Amino acid sequence: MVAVLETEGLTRRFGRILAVDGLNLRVEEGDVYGFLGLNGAGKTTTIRMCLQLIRPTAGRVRIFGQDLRTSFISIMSQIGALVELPAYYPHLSARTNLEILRIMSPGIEPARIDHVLELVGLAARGDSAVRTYSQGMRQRLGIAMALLPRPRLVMLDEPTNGLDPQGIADIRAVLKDLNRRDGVTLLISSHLLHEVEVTCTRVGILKSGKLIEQESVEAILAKAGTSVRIQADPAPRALEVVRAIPYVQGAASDGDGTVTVRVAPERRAELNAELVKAGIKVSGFIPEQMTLESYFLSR
Amino acid sequence: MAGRVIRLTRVELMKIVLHPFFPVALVILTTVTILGAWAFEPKETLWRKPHALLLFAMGAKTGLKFASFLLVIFGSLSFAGEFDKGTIRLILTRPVTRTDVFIAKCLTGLILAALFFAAVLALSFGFGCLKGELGPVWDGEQGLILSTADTISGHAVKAVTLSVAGVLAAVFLGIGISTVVESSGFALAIALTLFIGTDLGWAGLIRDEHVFSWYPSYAFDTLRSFAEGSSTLWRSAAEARVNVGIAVPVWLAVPAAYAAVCSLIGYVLFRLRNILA
Repeated sequence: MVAVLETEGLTRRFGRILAVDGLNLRVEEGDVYGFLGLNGAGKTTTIRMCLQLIRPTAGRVRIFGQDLRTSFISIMSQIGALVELPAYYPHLSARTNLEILRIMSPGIEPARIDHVLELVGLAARGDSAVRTYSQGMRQRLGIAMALLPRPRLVMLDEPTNGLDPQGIADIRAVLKDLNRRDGVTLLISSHLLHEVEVTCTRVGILKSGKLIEQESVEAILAKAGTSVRIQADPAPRALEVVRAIPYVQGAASDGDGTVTVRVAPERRAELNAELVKAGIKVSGFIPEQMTLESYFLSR
Repeated sequence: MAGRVIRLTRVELMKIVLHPFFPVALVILTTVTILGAWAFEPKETLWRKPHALLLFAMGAKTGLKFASFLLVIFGSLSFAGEFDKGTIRLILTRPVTRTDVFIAKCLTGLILAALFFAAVLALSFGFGCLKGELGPVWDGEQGLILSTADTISGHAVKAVTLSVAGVLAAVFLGIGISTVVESSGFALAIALTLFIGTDLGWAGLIRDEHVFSWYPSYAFDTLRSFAEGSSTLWRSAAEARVNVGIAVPVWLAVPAAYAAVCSLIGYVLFRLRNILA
């Protein structure tokens, strides 16, 4: 597969803090790439470096096979982006905001504005000042802005922020449609792991600035397999005990007195015995199929 | 590059014209220019009406002072306003370079300055023609012509020439500060403080001739005294030249130096800045 976005040893340091550490990201043509990580993991910093908003301390970014520093103009004419919160001129209408963006990017016909407003469900309010919009409508405008230049690659940082469930489903459908019908490659950073699971084809998991996993969603779910949900008392002690066991692949507290543990099916009985031996009362031991969320949390 | 700069300048002009402060600025500028000319009442003269260029000079002097003030405000909002709203991300993720953006912002500032400058001159000249008399400058007591119509017109042209660079430089002070801080409120406060401080010569620490905003006031004050018949010569400040390889008149060199320093600082900071807004 052809890499649309590739980073090599991408690093960014803010003083003593290493925000992004030697990242080797690879987004392939036609991917819907989910970029996962906890707050402060370095997702937004990475996206900003991929758009040259922040200079990397080390490493380089190649997009469409070209170096970002030397081919910035040609690359950016094929990219749409929404970085963190949507940005707009609040006293202007959505239509005027899009018109401003249209003039800045050559080759976009005026009719495209109506099309993207329709696409994100803002056509009826396109002429109202953006300051009168709800949070969800502003988010939709941000997405419309990213889609306006008919991009080959769209980078969306938390695109479903502030959207209601219907809005999330609508935007998911729009993005999937763009990917399927127009072959647009999408890089989506999100905290909504269920959304990533149902929308993305590949994911990259970032932890403390390092890319700890980069796989297709299918491969991750297959690898994750099943987990065990353990009702334990005391749960924090149970978490400590299971994390110290070498054959446990991952464990996370669910916060409701239960602990989810990733362990091979043949070691479950052994695990139960270890917990009992450690003086922990086990009142439930439920095997379940792991979701991307439980896999992510157990990493 | 030219195409990108033209597109960006078009967008910048659109944003300024649609900014809620723009009509307010035009109303302020119109009002103070007309008030500046209207408030002048030459009580000593025997003539029925003051000379039109006298009213023009008074209106232009007041109007251009406010125009400079407004240009500092617009200049200081140019980058800081984009950082505030986060729209700088929108701009810099389009196929344009930071140099294009900086040039477009400066060009827009210059166009706005030229617009304000022309508006003030047109308003004050219109008001002068409406309320005053054109023709030669007379000595009211002895009935002598002190200055012919051609001579006084030449002085008016010279006053306009002397003041233009001083007004244009104001916008660069705002733009320079605008790239230093990311909050438009702070940028505005710092730029206005610097402008007022510089205009006052930092309490006498700087000579008048070394302050860019002094030239419009000086030029129209002198035109006023020509139109009153109380002056026959321009001060040396109008004639002095600075040698920078070629001899540049000081009324051009001083504002150009301010503009160059402010825009250089602004450009370097903007190029180097990481966009975290």
